[in-house]
Amino acid sequence: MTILTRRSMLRSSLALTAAGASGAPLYRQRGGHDRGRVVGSGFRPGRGRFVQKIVADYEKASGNTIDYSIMPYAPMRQKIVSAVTSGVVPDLFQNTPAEIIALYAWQDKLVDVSDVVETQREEYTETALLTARCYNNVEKKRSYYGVPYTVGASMNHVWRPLVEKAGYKMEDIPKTWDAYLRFLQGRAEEIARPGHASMSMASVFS
Amino acid sequence: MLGPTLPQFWVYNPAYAQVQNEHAFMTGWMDIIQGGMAPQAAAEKAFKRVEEIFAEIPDAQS
Repeated sequence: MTILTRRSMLRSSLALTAAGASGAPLYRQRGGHDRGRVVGSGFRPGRGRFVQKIVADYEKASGNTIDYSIMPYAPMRQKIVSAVTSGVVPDLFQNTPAEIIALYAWQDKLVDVSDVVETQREEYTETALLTARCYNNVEKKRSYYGVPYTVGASMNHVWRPLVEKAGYKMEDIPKTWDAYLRFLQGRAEEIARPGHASMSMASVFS
Repeated sequence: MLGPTLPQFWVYNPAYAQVQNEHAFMTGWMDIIQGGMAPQAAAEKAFKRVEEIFAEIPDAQS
């Protein structure tokens, strides 16, 4: 029987975040079965299929089996909190909401997966690497506590009708951040009226 | 503005992760929208909570 460790699974599956109680073994052997347990989100069908493909590829390559669950974000987040709080954790879970990697790393709740990240380092952007490299306040050091497998961007919505209402075109919006913010703040003040629904034309931090 | 990407704030300081995790600023928005709180008071309340979080999770690394 193949002995599956959390690290071997991470290397093979390019996955998520590994949780473990402080001082616990990297992988909790369950009833003698060579299984890891993974929780991923199924909020979008494509995401669910992606998780399924990762698992299937891993199982095919390794001969091991993975017990995994796909569920919507809200219940998954509740399960993550329950698991990490109780110490009965899956081997991997999706890092959601995104900031929990920084919180759990700070609390020494996650496994250092630097060796896993190292195998994929050349594939990552600097931003992806920075995001997964968090500070552990028990060990007093930064290290990799997650393995990036996707990236996203924070949207900055600009309401074109409001820009035009203020007498401008979208092309008038500056292309640098400081000028951009000054421009939108100024236009918002120009069109601000009692009862107007908008706080600003752009939501910078959502 | 269309240059290289940047990570989220909490990458640099976990205190901001807690700010985001408990929705300190969004709670301020709800204080205004649902609670009828004056925007100035809501902002001061939110910043007070943010300052508390940063005091609880000091920037011991960076």
